[in-house]
Amino acid sequence: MDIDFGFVLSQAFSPFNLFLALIGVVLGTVIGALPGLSATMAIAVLVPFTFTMDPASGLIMLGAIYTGAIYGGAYAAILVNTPGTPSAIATTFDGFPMAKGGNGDLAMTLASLASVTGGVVGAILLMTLSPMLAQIALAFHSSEYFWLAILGLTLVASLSSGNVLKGLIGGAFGLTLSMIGVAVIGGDTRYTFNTTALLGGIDIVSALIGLYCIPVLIDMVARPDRHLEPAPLGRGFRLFEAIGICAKNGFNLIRSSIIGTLVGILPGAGGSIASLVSYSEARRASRHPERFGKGEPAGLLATESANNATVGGGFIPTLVLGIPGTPPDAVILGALLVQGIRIGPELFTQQSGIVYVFMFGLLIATLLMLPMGLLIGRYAYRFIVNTPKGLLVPLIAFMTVVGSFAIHANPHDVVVMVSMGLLGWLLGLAGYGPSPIVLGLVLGQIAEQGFMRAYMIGGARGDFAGQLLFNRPISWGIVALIVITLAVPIFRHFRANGKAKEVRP
Amino acid sequence: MIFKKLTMLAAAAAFAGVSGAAWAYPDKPINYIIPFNPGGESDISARLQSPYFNKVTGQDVVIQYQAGAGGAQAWSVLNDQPGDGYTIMGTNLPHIVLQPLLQDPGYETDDLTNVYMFHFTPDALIVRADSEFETVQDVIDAASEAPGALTAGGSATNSANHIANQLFANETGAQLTYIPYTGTGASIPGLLGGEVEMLWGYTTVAAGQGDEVRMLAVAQEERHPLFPDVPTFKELGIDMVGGAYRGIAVPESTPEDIRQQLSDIIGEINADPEFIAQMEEAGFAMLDVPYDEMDAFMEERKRVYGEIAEQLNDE
Amino acid sequence: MSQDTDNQTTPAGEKDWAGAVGSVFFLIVGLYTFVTSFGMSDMAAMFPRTIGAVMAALAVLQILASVTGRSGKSLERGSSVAEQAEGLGRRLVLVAVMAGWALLFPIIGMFVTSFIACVILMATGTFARLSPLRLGILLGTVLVMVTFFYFLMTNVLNIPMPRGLLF
Repeated sequence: MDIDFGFVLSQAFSPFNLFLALIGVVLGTVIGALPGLSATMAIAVLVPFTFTMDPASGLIMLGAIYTGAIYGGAYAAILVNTPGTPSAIATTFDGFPMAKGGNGDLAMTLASLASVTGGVVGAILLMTLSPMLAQIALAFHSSEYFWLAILGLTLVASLSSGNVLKGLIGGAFGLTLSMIGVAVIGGDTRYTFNTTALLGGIDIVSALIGLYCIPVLIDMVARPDRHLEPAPLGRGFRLFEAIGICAKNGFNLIRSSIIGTLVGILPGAGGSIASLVSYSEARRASRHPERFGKGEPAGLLATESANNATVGGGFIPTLVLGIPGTPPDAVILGALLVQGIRIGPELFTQQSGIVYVFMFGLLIATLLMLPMGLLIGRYAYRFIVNTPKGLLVPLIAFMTVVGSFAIHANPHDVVVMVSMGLLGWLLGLAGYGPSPIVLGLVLGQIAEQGFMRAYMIGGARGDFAGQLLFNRPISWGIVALIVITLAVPIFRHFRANGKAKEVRP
Repeated sequence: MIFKKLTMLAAAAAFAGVSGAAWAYPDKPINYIIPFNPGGESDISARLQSPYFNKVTGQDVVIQYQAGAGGAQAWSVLNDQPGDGYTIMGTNLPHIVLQPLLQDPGYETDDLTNVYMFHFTPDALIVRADSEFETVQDVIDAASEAPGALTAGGSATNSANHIANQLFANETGAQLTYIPYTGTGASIPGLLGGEVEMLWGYTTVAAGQGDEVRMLAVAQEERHPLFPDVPTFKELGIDMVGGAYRGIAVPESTPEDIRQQLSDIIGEINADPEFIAQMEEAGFAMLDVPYDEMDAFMEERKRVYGEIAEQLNDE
Repeated sequence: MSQDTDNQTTPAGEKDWAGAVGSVFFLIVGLYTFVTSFGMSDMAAMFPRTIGAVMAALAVLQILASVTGRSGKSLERGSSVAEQAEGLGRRLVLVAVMAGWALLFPIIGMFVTSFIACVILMATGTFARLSPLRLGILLGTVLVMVTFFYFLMTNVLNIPMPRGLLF
């Protein structure tokens, strides 16, 4: 490799490209903060404009929008309990309780710090180890996807501690919802009740918006008090407090960023699973797992660093193998193809270092996210806190409607969103939380298709058990993690009981 | 080739006649709805077309996305759109034939008014570069020894890839176990990572993956210009020509003359040598089915897919 | 290490009737999923059959736990039935507006439906009496907000809008 790094740096740091990165991050953050408006949409709209630019500039802007949008997803998750993308689901677990408890400003600052950390780790791994790490995308077969989905589903148990039975039922219900529509394997039309509207299945994002946001809206209009308590006057970003928390969670941040990058490499699954897995790992490794789900900063740090790390991770198979890791990657890949840039290993050695310009651009955009994120986050927080309910309720309600419509320009998705919201509210009354349902819905297709493909391939080769687990060392590893995740709380429980007995004679 | 040139001439002539008229169509941007998510082949081809659309007509196309249910979401509402020629929608074969045959997607094949089919991505049998299979005959031999033991990945059940697998079995007697993935993109790691032995894909896959993969044969009439060394199935005595076809349709209320003009515009874009070079570089195969030949073309396709659909249903 | 005592705020023996009703819903869904899976191809039936059966079985256990007063409270849960009494009218207005909004906007048009819905929700979310001036400002803000997002959707993000009677 003889890359002219002088050229790369002068390109990446050119004032015009820095300006584009800045604009991209701001645009991305704002779009990501609006539930339903996704990075994919923003990038697709901007792709034609980038054709008039130099390819490197265009790429930098698209990458900046992407990383900004993933970060922006934290805003709606923290402030109104609404994950606009599956990657922000776990952010609601601790982010919204923090905001409810009067620490919304701290949560926003923590999210910025964590996102930048994750983004930087992802970008650095992308720059240094891409060709090697891309092999992960190939090493993971269908059986590994299945086990990974099961690992994500083990979160159901920890999220519903207190009544695991209800959590499991909710998870099974989510899995059932994920089966609606035309089956990818088998081709059957399942549970559509002969309506064409359900042929495409339940859209995950509209279900997310409905299940999490509608119950919040319903509670919001019931009482005259404020949605979130305002911070005392004169309190700043709480930046030093946040840095202190991050320093204490240094290992958690790095672990989550690495998990985010590695899982982000897996095409099709990475974005949604990465933050769930790192949340689960953070909880398992924590000395205070009981605080998770009630506003524990470590949980927020884990998910936010992991989901921004998936940006760099997702670009690894995209750029090395030409296999897009996530939908935004697919759009960027398409844009590259239209510009006549050939993807593949040679992209790293030839084509005058354009990839390196892009990767540096992505790194710079991620770093720019810190000042911009702190600033925008502060205004977003103040806006949500200070806007009277009379305006906040229609604004959020309008966002849920246009957001769920915008996903596929399809009115049925809005009906799905409202129906899921009502169902979520009613089930909430019966003590069923939304998160197990959401986990089932998000992971259901990954689990089912992974299992069925392993079953079919195993059937053809006459060795199903080997295909699913025994001949697959990576599967052993994931299964071990599943066992540990499930066993550790039980072990702790018994140890705690034992100690309690010793103390109390 | 002669046929292609003739249509080109006709298109050019027709267009010249139209642009001379007092009421020029189009006189504002045209909404071009893609019934899939951005980033796919339908999106990429629309993106490649759009600068030429401007070159030919002086107007832009605004690409919109309305993904859902494998395209059915958008196709089922196409006829509710205004028929003024400013809304056009991408259509894909075999999707628009197979969906109404196998389920109720909310439209019938004949509800869609196709005005032009502009290219197709030929079916191709693809293996890894280090695979033991050098020729199609190797695959047939191995499959006859152990029917069903070889796996071939592809995009979803009842898709163009699934049809190709069935056609191949009908023609050669070679039974491969078809493994459905969520999409063409998702099936590529399956092949490269060794989960499946081969892939029913398209020439675009091979164009994208370069040296990593080897195409054993393509389902085209003639060899693809990008892959002069890869034989067609026909050369090997296997009667397979097909793949995923793409075109555009308009709402049925669109007047005849606008349908014809649109067909002429697309025909002119399709004849631009620079455009052809870009498309072929990406692995697409050019095709010209203008509006006046559409009925015959669709009848032919419906017959082919109809037979296969029965077989797939019986399985 | 008090993770369980924290969460189980329900005194032992208190019956969880709401939980039982909810579990009956899941029992029905589980049975339906299980039974209908027999009409599907083998490949497509495996998951629904397994999960339907598991869900139905778990739902039966939960119903038993609920009516015998052994049901704990999950960490994550919605507000309880008792809490819903406060502001129930406003809650129901919101639910009705959302449902009407979702069903009517494809027929009437996104802009008009959204403006009307937003005005109703503005009234629902307002608790103090408003002076005419303040009311005017709020209405103006709602109009600007709806216009802005409508413009963003149609002209910036190029999202095809449903063709309603109005716009």
